[in-house]
Amino acid sequence: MTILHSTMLSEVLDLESYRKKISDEVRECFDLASQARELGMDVTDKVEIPLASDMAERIEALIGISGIADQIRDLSKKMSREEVSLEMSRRVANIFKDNKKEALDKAIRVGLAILTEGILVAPLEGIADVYIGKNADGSDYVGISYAGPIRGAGGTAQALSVLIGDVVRRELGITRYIPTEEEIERYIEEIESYDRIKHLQYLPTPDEIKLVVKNSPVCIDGEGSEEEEVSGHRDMARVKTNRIRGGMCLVLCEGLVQKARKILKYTSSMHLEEWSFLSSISGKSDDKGSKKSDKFLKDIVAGRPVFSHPSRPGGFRLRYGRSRVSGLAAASLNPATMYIMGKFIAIGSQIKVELPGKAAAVTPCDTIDGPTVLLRNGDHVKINNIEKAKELYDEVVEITDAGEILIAYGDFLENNYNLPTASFTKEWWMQYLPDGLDGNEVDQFRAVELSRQYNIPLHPDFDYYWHDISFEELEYLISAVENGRLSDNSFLIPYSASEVLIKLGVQFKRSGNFLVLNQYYPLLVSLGYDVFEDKIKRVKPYQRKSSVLETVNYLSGITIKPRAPTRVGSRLGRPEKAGDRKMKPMVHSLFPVESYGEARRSILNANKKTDGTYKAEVFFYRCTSCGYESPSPTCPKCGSRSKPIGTKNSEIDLSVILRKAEDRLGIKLDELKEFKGVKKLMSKEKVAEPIEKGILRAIHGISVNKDGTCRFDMSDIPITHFRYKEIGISKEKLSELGYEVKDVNEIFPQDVIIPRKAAKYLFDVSKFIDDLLVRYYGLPPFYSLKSEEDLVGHLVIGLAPHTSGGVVGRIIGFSDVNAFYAHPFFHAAKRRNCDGDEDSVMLLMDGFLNFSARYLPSTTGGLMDAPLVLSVLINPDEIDKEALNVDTLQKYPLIFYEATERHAAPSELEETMMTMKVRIKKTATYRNSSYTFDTSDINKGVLVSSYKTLATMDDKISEQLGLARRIRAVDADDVAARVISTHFLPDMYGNFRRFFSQEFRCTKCNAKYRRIPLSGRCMKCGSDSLTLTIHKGSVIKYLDETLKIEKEYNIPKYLKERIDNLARTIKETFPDEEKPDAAIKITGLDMY
Amino acid sequence: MIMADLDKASLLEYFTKNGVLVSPSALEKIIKYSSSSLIEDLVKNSDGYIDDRIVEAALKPKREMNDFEVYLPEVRFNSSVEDFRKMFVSKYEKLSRIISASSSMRGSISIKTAKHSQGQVKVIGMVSEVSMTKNGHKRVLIEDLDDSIQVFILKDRGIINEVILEDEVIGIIGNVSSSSKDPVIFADEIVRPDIPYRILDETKHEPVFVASLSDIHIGSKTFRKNEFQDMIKWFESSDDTSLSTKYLILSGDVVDGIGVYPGQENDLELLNPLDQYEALASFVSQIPEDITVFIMPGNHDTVRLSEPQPVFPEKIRKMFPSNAVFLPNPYNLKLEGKNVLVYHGMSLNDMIELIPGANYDSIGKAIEAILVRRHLSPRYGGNTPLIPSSVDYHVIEEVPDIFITGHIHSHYIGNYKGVRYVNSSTWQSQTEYQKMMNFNPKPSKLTLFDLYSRTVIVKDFDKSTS
Repeated sequence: MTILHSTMLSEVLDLESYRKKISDEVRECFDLASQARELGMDVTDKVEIPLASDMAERIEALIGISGIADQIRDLSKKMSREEVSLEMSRRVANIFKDNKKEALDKAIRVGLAILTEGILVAPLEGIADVYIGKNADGSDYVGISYAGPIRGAGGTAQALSVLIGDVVRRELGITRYIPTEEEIERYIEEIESYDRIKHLQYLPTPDEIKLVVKNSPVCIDGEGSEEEEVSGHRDMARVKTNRIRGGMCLVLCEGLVQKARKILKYTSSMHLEEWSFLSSISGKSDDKGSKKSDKFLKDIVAGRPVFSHPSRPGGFRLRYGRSRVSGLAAASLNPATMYIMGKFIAIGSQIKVELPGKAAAVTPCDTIDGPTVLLRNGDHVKINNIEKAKELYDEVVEITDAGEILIAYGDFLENNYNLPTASFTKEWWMQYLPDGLDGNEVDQFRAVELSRQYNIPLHPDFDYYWHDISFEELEYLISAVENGRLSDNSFLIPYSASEVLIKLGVQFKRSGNFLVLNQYYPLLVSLGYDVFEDKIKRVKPYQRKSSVLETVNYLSGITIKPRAPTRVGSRLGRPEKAGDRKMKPMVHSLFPVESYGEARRSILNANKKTDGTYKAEVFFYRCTSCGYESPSPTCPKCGSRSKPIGTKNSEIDLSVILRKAEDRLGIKLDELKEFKGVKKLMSKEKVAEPIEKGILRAIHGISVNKDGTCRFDMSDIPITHFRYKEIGISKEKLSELGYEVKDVNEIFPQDVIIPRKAAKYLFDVSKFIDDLLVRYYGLPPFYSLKSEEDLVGHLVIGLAPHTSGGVVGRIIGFSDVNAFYAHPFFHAAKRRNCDGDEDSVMLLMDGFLNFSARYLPSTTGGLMDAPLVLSVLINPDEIDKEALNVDTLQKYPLIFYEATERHAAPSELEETMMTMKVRIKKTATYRNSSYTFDTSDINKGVLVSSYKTLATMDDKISEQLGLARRIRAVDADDVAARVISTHFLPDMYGNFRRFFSQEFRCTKCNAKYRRIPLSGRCMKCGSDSLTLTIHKGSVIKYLDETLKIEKEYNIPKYLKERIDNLARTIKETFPDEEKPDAAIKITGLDMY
Repeated sequence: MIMADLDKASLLEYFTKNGVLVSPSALEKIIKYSSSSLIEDLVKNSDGYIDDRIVEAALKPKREMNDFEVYLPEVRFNSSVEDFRKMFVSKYEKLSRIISASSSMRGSISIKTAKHSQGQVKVIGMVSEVSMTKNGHKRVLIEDLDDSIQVFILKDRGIINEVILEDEVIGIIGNVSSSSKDPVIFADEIVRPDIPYRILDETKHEPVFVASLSDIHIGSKTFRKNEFQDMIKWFESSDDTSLSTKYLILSGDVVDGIGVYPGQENDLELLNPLDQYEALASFVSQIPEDITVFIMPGNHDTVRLSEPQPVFPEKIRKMFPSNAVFLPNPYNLKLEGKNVLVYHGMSLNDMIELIPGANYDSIGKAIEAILVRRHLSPRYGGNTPLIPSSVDYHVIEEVPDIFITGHIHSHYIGNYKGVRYVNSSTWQSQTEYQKMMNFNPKPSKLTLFDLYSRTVIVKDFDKSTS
């Protein structure tokens, strides 16, 4: 509606007017939704998502202590975030000082909320309890019991929360925690056990654990979060659980120990001497330096291929720079690379990388190098566009070079990863070119001439991977050149030189026993030859220098720089995602059907099966006029408003409720194909959703999330500049949105580009919302969309898992990719980066009308992923700091490249590189940013990873291994061995063991049994449809594949023994029942 | 051949004809002690040469012929839901037979009948769930083959402190109450299958020792080779106890195996399981052949993990000398008429978690809890995988005279109502994992039970403590 009004005026918006427009429209939606909710037809009469204009308001809304927002704002003007956090904790403790426990609890939560910008759920759910306990000497101490969601807060905030606890404890005059020897031992055992189950980023030594526990004035405690229990130190008086306390392990290890150095900075500035013990912790993991590792290869997953082993020739060549869709942990590849790599890498796919971080999302950039491949006909060619990749795909016998990977400087800065030597690339070379000379269109002769004349390095197009070959290979190449000849503007060299030329990255065509090189002159020059009157002559006698590269520098007499000194190993991580969130099984309505709806939880079946009434635990209302009791806020008998009475386990009359709903909505329920509820309500009060909402969702085929909203989930990828043409909007639309009409625009920070799939889904949701407004509330429709295109201009809420703060976004267009393009600030405001994270969007109106905190599960984690507060506007100083490290230059300067040659720390160059932070500091705005490499179209590339299109695991694995064999930089045997030892064997071992201690399940009513009842019948529903929960199939799932791989690949002997051992015991455990199934044949394994 | 006819010449001729050389002094000895069986033995067992020493060895009095039975049941199993059910039905039937034999349970009735009864009833059921009510009473759901019922144990009753495990089979004496919708039982007494008190009939008999050790873990870097060698030397010695030892029981984890836990390869000296068994076989070959060595698999051995575990495959058995006898796990061994129940002991891990007071250093409570319940793995579903078969092999049907377990790497000797039991010592030093779990094993202790008296001897080969 609002959008239609504004079509008239197409003024170009500046940031201020953009922000105003967004907040006005949010307010307008809010007011409309408030009108609807005030009608009393919902479980609460007001919109339950409080609007917050800044962090302070978010915190106030989240923690619910009124009046603190102003204080936070005030303090923030003069203090750092951490200082504000501590000061506010003190103040809050003072407010509640009459009740020490409450004071501690509130103070620690407020402090933690400030540290996490009021977006994360950690302050609410990460702390299960704060309590006051007794030491052996009778003195009091403070214990903080952490829960799983504390993870989201990150190490530093986790550690600081302990510090806050300490400060508040002093404030309240409570003595310190004194651990017993046995308690210390328990910590040691428990942390080591946790590391085995969940894997810690850093496992402290027993001495480090001892040091922290002994000296921490606050007891770091936790809820028993894991299934597993400790086996040694059990049943202890002060440790309430024998189960492993995940929250405690995280705070102690990844918090206090791992961030010891960072924490020390605060403790010393605040003169908390008792914490100086932290200085004797090495905090190893903080210094990442520039060490490369094969860590990314760990936990390799079956079906997700390796693209390059660490630092191997033929792997991705590092190119520094930022495309308009990279940075914030996203890296760009040439679309041709995505395709050639078995189509496994799609836009939005996560790849695990060797450097600078752990992972990156992939985005397209077609102005960097694609891969080089060897074809069936013997030609060695570079492929720089996806069309050519498609054409040649089936001809490729080997991928000899993976092409370039574009990684932004900002990602090195963020990871504090010392800059590895830059590849010698054109943008660097250009900076050596004297002014006035044109560096474009340089041919092979001109390249050599420029180097000779101006004494500048050889143009990168003719600079080969000299560092990848040996002296023997160099000398062999020279001897081959001696046997070559010039002919028709090309050079013919004997076929036997092909291996060396492939390693060098030289392109050639094969012609019988010769290879034809069209670009030969710089190569000959590099080898010490020159061409005189069509004759090749040696001009410099051959001589070995300290390296091959040195040698060619000497032989050529010109400067030849290392072309690909840094290769980046990688493998496929999580494939891209874009899909609507469906609870399993689908849920249309948060309405309980107990077991009457059977496994499908059909509300209509429950109605039929029970003759309309059944007992359920639910929140009841009583009609103010007729006194009828039902779980509905409006009376299903007479339609009047009802008064809440409370939760009870009582009869509900579903048939009456359904009849009323049919009436009200003017819909016949017989028309519904399916209409599903939930078995039980998980919320504290067990409030049921008005059933009408569910009926309308069922009509539109959409599923509801646990909080009453409809979500679309997507992988996050960044975009800073867009072309209106690529996002499917017209010039007029562009102008309406407040952009200047031009080819490329810098995107506003809250503008988002959604996948077509999401548009289709949100379109359906908009229809549901309009129906709801018209048929249920009796109000005019809000969206009235004619087509998906009409979504442009509408507002959504972006919300990430593990957080509870939504961020307003505006749809400006659509992409064909299966990922979520938005400004880095938008992602960072939701506490996401783009290394494979995903989050969700919902329509703003859906959130306002349908969200209620009263639906949320009361279990730990229930508040997660719910819009408990909404940030209307993004403030750059309240987003995840990572986004401020995004660099904004159009061209990286020469000093940057030269700094990489000495592996400088990235922080040295921060000012020069104009990160967002620096830009804001220098120009007072983050607008007018730029990028170094263009991408012609953000939709160009593989759109769906073949991991998702290949039907079976068998297919995925055979593609994964096939690709491993095709890629020069990948050791296929190693991939095979890793897949088996980290995926197949543990999976089979685990299921094999669990098979014989498994649970049982009733297929009728879904009841679970630890042990099968002796009668063989379900004790709940009486049916005899009990079944296994782990089947033989899941034990032998990978057996065939494993045996096949064992045979075909050269894997370590010990691994072979393990496979044989397992296969044999499986065989003797599941005797040949039935007929011999071809799929589970065990052959050649009779070791005994 | 008749003794009297013997002379040097014909004897020599006899040996030569059989391709055996005899030293002159040996020949003297043979004539002196000769018996036809001795001569035949010497010829049969000779390597082609006989000297004094060989004759003397042949003349040494032999330990009595060993008397044992090993009958391997044919374990049939499958993997369907019904097979799992049959296993529990078998467990229920076997144990309820034992329970109903006790005098206090005379007149027990089915749960279905009990539900329609009034006043005191006696029922036998398998426990499905145990929970506490808000008021501190205990609620136990029990079932028999066709029905189930809630049993309440009120908090003021003495039996409230009884540990009741899921899946154990118990008798309940109590009163049916039908005041609520479904009838429930208020229990007065819990009856367990338990072990009847027994007194060892100390017949006058020369001692016959059964030696027991477990968890040798050959192949592991932490296997205590020297101590093991010392032990074998002791068996070869003429120590009285040693000479009276006729049986040696190795109750599982005889080798370290491979792939048992992640990263095991770093802890292994022998990376191939066959090499590990070869090494064990060569040790066993050094043990005097008149000692019968019983070898059972455990969770580290290369047979299937799920119990009952089968005997080792042919290829491994072939490596061992003829005095090695292979057992499945668990197994009730009959030695000279006595019951020796041997179980590797995987379920002990579960029992430590379930039985208050049981821990790795003092495993007695857990072992006794097993005996009381007459089942080697009372609770299903923990860390003890069971093969579903129509016979539950874990029921302790016959009361053992001696109960041997291992697995824990501790060493604990006890006596429960006349049943002597041991958690046998390991032959592996503390591993990295145990160090991390703060567990100190008690290795290299050989436990010897006399089959005919209450005597138990511990031979300590642990060099670090002596």
